Amino acid sequence: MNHNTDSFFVDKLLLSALRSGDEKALNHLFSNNYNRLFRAGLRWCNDSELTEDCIQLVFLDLWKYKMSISDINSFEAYLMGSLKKRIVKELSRKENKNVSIGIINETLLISTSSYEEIFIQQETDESQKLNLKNAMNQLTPRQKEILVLRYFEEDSFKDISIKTGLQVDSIYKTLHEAIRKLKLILVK
Amino acid sequence: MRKTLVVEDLLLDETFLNYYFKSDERDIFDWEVRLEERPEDQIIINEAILLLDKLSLKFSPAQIKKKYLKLYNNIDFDEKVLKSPFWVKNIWFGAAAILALTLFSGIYYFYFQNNPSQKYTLLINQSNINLIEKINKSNKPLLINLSDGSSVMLYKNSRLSYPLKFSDIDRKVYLEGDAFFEIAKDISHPFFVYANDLATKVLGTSFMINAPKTKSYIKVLVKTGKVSIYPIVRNSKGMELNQKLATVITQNQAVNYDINNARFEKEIVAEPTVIKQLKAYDFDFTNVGAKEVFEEIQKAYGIKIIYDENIFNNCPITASLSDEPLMGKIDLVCKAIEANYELIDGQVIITGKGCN
Repeated sequence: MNHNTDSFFVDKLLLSALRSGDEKALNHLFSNNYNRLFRAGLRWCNDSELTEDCIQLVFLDLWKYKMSISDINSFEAYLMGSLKKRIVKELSRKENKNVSIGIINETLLISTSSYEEIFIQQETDESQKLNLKNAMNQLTPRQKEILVLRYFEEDSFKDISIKTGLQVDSIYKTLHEAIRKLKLILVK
Repeated sequence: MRKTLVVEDLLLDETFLNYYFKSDERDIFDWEVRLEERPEDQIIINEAILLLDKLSLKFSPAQIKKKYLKLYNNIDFDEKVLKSPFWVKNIWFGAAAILALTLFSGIYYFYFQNNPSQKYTLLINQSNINLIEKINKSNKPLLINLSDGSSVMLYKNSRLSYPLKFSDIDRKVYLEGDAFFEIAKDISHPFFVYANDLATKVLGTSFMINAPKTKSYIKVLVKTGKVSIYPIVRNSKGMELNQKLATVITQNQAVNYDINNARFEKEIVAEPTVIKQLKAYDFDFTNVGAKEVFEEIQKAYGIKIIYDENIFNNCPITASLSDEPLMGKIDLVCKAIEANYELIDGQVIITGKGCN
């Protein structure tokens, strides 16, 4: 699951630039890591709004305390760690109890309803949103489940077969149907 | 009979998905090669990628920019920065070096605070051409355009000395601090950056140099192209480049030169794909209006481009400008829209008939 395209060396340069007050370094880190942080956060708390709020807080802290961070070997790892801590903190505050970081360590499978919600929410065009909702409604639960496993969890077809107990052939057929239905709407 | 590429097939193709999710080196490589050999597939592949972006719940670059804006507005840029002890900044030394540094750093720290860096001064004194010096004390990177069309982004607390017009033999500049270079290609006039006991020679490429004033190392990171790096030797003839100890680094490589031990350490970057540059802008355009291209360039370089929106609005541009220095970018865009440009008082003025 490692999508790290910034090398160890580039991260050092970024830290140096960040420390000298270069806002472009912050922008770069934000833009490059946003999607993977978002998806990790979703897995941890299943709440897209909370995740996005926490990401903002993580970067605010990064900028505020940039001078006192010590060695960073990988910004991706550092930001992931910060986000996890922040989500635990916010969840604890919200639910008024101490959420153990241990519970969060289990990679929760994102529920298909959360996936559907976010999938539709990310569309900025209001009329498209309605179309997407309709398209999603035409999918069977099985189709949605495999969609999530293949494109969000990034599971291989073999892994999906293990997780669902279905044959690989049938998984291909199911996915093909689902994409066909969605493609008509999504690709203008 | 080769089957024509269809989006559904791509989305069901495990190798393509490995390429998209970057989970298999071999598949990434194969698909990159395939794209080079069959550029006509690019359109369908882009469609598939757009679909995958949505299905994997990715936010688009435009959406992320909005979110960044939210962050940006919440930051208090004038807030007193929490200062750390200076030794925390020395993160690039190995353990042994850290020990040595903490013994001497008290002296060096105050010494270099009050005196200009000896190395930089020595180097510029050796030059027999008159040099201009630009110092960047501000928080924002300073853009410097050189007479050959190359551009340099000078970061905070850094300085660059360069001639108004380069000599007939080669192009030499002198750096103290951090800068990102985009060098115009000129095979007959190699470009040299002198910094901290090293000279970096390039033909035409883009790279980043970090040559901090108070440290005994220099880092060179190559984004595109190739550079050769020579230690600078002072002898009876003055200053020379040590050809024997020269090292060449190319895209996806970085080198660390330890001045005290006169040693190069090359690092191979693990990923075979291109290193992202430090500017968070992407200069690949497919069928976009001239306005958007000019906006990107303005934002990235902090310069003003003046043009008539009405005339150039309908001009579509498809180009990959990321390897060009600033003036090269503007030159290419103007060629595409049949316009002319002039650089007056640090602003770019575009004139032309448009494309209607």
